[in-house]
Amino acid sequence: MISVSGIHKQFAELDRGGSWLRALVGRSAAPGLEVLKGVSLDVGRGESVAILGENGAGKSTLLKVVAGLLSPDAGVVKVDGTVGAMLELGVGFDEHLSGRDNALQACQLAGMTLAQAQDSLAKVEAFSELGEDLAQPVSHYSSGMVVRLGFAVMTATQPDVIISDEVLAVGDESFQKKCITWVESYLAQGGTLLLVSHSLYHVQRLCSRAIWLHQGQVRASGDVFEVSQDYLAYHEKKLSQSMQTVAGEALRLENFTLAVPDGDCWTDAQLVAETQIKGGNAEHSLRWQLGRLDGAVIGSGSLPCQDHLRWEIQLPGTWLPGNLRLDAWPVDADGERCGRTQRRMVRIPGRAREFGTLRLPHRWLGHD
Amino acid sequence: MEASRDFQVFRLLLTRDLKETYVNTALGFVWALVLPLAILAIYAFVFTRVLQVRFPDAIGAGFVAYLAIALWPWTAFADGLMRATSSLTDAARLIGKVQLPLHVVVLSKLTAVFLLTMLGYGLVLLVLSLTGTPVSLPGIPVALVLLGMVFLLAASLGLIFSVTQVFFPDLRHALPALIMLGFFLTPILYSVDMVPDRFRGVYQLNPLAYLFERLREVLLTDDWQLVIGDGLVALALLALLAIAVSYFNRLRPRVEEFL
Repeated sequence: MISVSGIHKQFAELDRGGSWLRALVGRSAAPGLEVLKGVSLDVGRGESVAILGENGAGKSTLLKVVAGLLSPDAGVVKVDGTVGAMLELGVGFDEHLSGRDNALQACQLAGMTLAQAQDSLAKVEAFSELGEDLAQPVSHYSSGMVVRLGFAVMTATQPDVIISDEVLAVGDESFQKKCITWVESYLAQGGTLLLVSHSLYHVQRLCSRAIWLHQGQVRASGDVFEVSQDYLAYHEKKLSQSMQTVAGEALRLENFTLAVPDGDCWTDAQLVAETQIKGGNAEHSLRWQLGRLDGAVIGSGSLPCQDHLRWEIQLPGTWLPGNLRLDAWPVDADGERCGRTQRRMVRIPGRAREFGTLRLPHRWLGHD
Repeated sequence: MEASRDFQVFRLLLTRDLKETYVNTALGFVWALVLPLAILAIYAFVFTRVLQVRFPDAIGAGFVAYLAIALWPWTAFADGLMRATSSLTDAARLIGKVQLPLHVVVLSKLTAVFLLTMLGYGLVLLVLSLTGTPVSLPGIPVALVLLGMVFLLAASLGLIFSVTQVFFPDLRHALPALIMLGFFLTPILYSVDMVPDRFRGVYQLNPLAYLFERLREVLLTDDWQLVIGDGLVALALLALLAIAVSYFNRLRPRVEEFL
């Protein structure tokens, strides 16, 4: 359905004359920002794929290339079938025309005849719930109303492929739900979706596969749960790194090792950690902290100092897939840090639809 | 498939343009018809009453008829070129969101201007023949062919200028001056015969000079046949179009980045 291979895209510098000349003599790459560096992507009919990545990773550029709105410098883009692109706000609406005229125009630009467009106007009216406001020029619309209209037009045109950039996150709660329900039924009927979203909830709900773009290259690709977990872990780590403080180095923890249980989604598991403290005495103790990568603490404790420490942390209940950190550092009699923190990563493998760290058992309570 | 979609987009943009420019404005078609008529009246007044230009009687029609025959095609050419040149930058918002054949964006603007101006042209020819200037009826189909060649020239230049303006926005400011220059370097207010002999060779490199003189000939005299020269100019214009298309296609992939 969508087949993209080896896409390079470089945005030319603002030197217009230079780019004009280069394009004229047939040289493609002007020195500038290289946004995509050899990205390949295949999406089959009926598949739904999410593109994850930080700001500036090249997600929107990739979507624009797939939608045919930007020409790549190198590489091949093939798309079979009609494309409905919802990029940022608006879908190429004319501010001065009324909502209705814009819907007609957009339907025709999507390949309908005028008669077909007029027929599908009723669908647009029903889905957008804009009612009387459709007679108003789009310049009077709020951004939410523009998205409603744009999405309604897309439902009316029924494209073979939907390419969507952060559109689902706009609009109010009830409209969002309506859109998601529509996309789900669209996918169930064999539609194809390429989605960029920072909402992992939307990504995991709608997509079966994900691609993680990092600095213009595919960093990971595969099952949506695995990729989005790695992506999340990367962010949590990045955040904690930027917050970490540097401490003194009077005492040193050495040979810090950690044994973790086997299997996915740990239930009533134990972590066993081991370390040596160099230079400590009876006044010192070891403090540990188990937390998430974004800095949130799940549990902590301290143990009196010994030359060789081996301790166990109980993890009651079922722990959801994700990445945790175990930090340990020495403190003195006053509880002041007196050595550098050592960190070990704890990865809980598996997959789950829930968010969070622990699976909390829950159920309905009947009447008596 | 591709061509039929292009045509559909062309028709859509054309009707939208006609509606936007003339139907949705308060006085509608008045602007398309009355304004050029008023300009014609002012030119006629200035040149026949104030400056009292002596005009060769070779063709046998009055100055006003002589001027009118060239003024409308010129207006179509000049306005069309202006609108076509800014068409890509004007449609930047649409181009960034919907996949559009860009040449269609340029050509639809040009066509809208030509259609409206030609409506006025027809009206003027009618007024001329009613007020006693014999307009040659068999000359009209030939005139349409010649006007088609004017359109061809405007289309070629429009394709070149529109994509150039994306890279050099200054063109927007330079173009009115260039068009003013063209107005005086083209036989609109005078005839080619009035140009001194030693300049005439260079002067006639302007295809519009040839086309406008030919329009006067076919519409105001009995010589309404197509001649070999018409075919040669048409060939030259087609060659120019080919150059314009290849220039346009070369720059096309970079257009979105600079819009």
